[in-house]
Amino acid sequence: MERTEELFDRIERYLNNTLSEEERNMLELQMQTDEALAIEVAKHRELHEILGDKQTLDFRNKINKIHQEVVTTRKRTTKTTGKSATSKTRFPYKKLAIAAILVVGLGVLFWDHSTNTNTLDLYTTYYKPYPVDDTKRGEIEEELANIYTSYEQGAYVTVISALEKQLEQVEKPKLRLYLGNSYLRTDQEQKAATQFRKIDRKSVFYEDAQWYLALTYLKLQVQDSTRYFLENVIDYKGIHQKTAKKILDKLQ
Amino acid sequence: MTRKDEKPILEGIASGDSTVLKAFYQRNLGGIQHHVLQNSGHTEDAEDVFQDALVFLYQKLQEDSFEIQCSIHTYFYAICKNIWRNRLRKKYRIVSREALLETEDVLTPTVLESLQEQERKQLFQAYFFKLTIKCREILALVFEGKSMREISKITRFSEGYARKKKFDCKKKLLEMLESSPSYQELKNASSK
Repeated sequence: MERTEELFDRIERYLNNTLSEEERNMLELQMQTDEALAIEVAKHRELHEILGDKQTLDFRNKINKIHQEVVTTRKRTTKTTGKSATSKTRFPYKKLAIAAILVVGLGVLFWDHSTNTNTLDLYTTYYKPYPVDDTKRGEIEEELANIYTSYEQGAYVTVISALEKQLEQVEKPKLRLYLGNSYLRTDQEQKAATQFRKIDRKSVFYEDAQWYLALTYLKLQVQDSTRYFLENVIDYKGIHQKTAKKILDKLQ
Repeated sequence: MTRKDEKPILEGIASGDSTVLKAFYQRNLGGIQHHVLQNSGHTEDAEDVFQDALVFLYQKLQEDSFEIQCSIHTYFYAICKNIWRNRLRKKYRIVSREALLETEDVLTPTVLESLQEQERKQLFQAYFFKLTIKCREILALVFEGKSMREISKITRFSEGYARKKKFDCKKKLLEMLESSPSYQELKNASSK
């Protein structure tokens, strides 16, 4: 049986009791003569019944995260203690073994450190402040022109207060990108995320907003959220798609 | 009767308290890994068994009538052993002597029965978590019975995009399940 969007919609409406009586009767009649359709409906019903238990799914999601955390810690611990045990069995080479442990120990220390900073390295590699476009300065208001100049010069504290005032008067998604970037540059990541989140899906700046949200969470080392926004960027199929895929690959 | 000193652990698991869950993990994962590795399993098998057992315990703790007559750790170990024994039976059709050691003295017949029923749920949930975060977000709303309009409003996707994404994700989930040997096995078992 070919799976189509229409078929899925129809089955879901049947399971949710939102089909009209006529549509419902027709589907039930079809199921009696079409075994493949009846099997497909049964599969959907099972999915809905089992995966409709939100409470359990939330719990599983929570323990998945705890699991990752505990397993990673255990692997690191095993790695360190495993090396020490080996050294005891090689008494004639004690000095060499101690040196090896030191090297491994330092390696583990370095590895731990580099794992923690890995996402930060990615952030440093891929983050570029949202650029000021080529609009001739004469074409925009003087105040805005000054803000852009300050932004280009890296005077983010000045930019933040000026942009906050501007955005109180008028909603401009592009200005939110500059404000978000200024927050990001001054280590105010949560405030940056709030600005990027305010940019609506319908806006032409939506892709940029999702891109900077991904980078914000990359900087905060929150992998789930980073992945979520990178997936959004990839789905958008815009200018950041390729780079988003690269980062996502590196995170996996 | 539940041991008094273990009451906070049971309450913590039932309410999904992260600190309690983490401590429980740290205390019990090693023992379960040891058992599974000693009985033809791999580390990944042990981790799956542990998680499935913990979800099972969580669900049981939501039932008012549920009572444990021994230490929570002993009880949890019995659940894990039982899950692993069932998996071994299915996988190899034979089970090692140690894995065959029955745990019925700790688990009541009702619990043993619901452990069997739980297998299908565990499989579906495991595949659901193989999907991307976005797929999970949309499908969770679909399974809650939300309309496409509501889903579009919650996710802030256009209705058309949400519908297309929902279809792709659900199709992928069904295909993953259908190609899983465990799913086929469960299907065959239920049709007998």
